[in-house]
Amino acid sequence: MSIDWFTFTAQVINFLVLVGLLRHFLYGPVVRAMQAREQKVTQRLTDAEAAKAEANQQRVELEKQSQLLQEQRDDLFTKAKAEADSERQRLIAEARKEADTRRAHWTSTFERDQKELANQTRRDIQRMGFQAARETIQQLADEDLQKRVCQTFVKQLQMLNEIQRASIATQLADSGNPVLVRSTDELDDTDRSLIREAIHQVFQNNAEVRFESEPALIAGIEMDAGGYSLPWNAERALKKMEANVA
Amino acid sequence: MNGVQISPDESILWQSEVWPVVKINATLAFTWLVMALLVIGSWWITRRLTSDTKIPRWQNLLEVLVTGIRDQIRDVSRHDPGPYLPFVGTLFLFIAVANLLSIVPGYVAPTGSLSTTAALATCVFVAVPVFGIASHGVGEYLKRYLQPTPLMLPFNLIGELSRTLALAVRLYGNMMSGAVIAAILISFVPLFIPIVMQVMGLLTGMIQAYIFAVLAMVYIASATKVAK
Repeated sequence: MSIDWFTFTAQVINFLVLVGLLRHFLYGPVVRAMQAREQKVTQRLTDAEAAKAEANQQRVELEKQSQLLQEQRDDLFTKAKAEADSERQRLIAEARKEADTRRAHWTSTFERDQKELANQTRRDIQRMGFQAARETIQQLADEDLQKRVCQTFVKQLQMLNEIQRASIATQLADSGNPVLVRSTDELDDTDRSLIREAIHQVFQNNAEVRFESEPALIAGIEMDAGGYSLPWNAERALKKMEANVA
Repeated sequence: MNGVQISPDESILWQSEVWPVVKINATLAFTWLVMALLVIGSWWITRRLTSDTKIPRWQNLLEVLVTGIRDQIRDVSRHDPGPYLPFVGTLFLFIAVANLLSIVPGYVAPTGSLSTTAALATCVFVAVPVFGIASHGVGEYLKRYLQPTPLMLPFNLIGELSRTLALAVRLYGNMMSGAVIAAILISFVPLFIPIVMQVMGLLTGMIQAYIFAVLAMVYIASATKVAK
C-alpha cells in the first residue's frame, strides 16, 4: 500500500484528459441532442396546441356556417312550399275555372242543340201533320164537302160588316170588273147560283160573277172582288195555324 | 499478477532506461484501455446523434446514462447539473467501467491502485474549491473555513484533508480487497465460490463508483452552498 507518484501524476493527467474528451464526445452532443429534442417536442406541442386552437376555431366557424345553411335551407324550403301551395291553388282554381267554362260551353251548346233538335222535330212534326191534314182533306174533298165549303163561304160573306160591304161594293162599281170566284173543283150550278145570289144580296148589286177552278186551293173558295179578296179554304186555314204554331 | 502483487502499480510493462521513474505499469495501461473504450464508444455513438423522437438504441442508452447522472447531481446539489456534469459524470463512468471490466480475465482494475484513487481524490480535493470559487468568488469561499468561528480553521482544514484521504482509501480498499479475497478464495476453493465473488465484485464496483461520484458531488455542493 504505497503511492507511485509518477503513476499518481499520470492518473491525474489521464483523468483530466478524460474529462475533456468525454465533455467533447459525450456530454456535449448528448445534452445538445436532448435539448434539441425537447425544443422540438415543445415546438410540436406548441404547434399542436395552435393547430388544435385553429381546428377548434374552424370547427366553430363550420358549425356556424352549417347552422346558417340549415336555416337558409329551412327558409328556402318553407318559401318553396308556400310558393308550391300557392301555385297549386292557382292551378286548381284555373283548372276549375276552365272546367266551369267548358261545362258552361258544353251546357249552352247542348241546350242549343237540344233546342235546335226540338225545334227541328217540332217543325218536322208540324210539316208532317199539316201534310197529312192536307192529304186527308184532299182525299175527303167530295161533293158534300164542296157544298159544305160553299155554304161556309156564303156564311163568311154574310158575316162581313156594313163598312166592308160598302167598301167592296164601291170598288166593284168603280172598277167595273166582274167578281172572280175560284174553287178547287168546278162548282155545279146549284152552288154557283147560291154564291151568286149571296154576292148580289150582300153587295146590293148585280155584278157579274165569274167562276174558275184552282186545284191548288184545298177544299176552299176564294173571292176576288174589285181588288178585295175574301178567301176561305183549308190551305189558308192550315197556313195560318202553321204560322201560329211556329 | 500473482498473489503477492496486490497493486497493479507493481506490474511494470515498460520502464525508461534514462529516467527509471518513467514507467508504464498495468495501472496506466488499463487506465488507457478504459479511457479508449469510453472515448471511442462515445465518439462512435454520438457521431450520428439525432434529435428526432425516434432514436437509435445506443443513443438511447447514452441519454439514459447522462440523464440519470444529471438527475443525481440535481438531487444532491439542488443546482443546475450543467457545470458539474463533465467532472462528476466522468468520475462515475471511469470508475464504473474500470470496475466492471474486472470480469474480463487478465484485467486488473486501475482503481485497485492507491495511486489512481489518490489521484481521483486529489482531483476532487482541488475541484471543491475551484467550483466554490467559480460560483461566488475567493473571499466568500475562504470565509467558509472561518465558520462558525476562526478557531475552527484548523479543524476545517483537517476535515478537508481527511475526507479526501477517506475518499481515496475507501475506493482503493474496496477494490483491492475484492481482488485479494478472490485470489485467496481461488487458492482454497477453486470452483463456484470465485464466481460468486466476481459477481459480488461487480456489484461492489458499481456501488463504489456511485458512492465516489455522489460524495464528490456532495463536497462540491457543500462548497457552493456555503459560498452562498
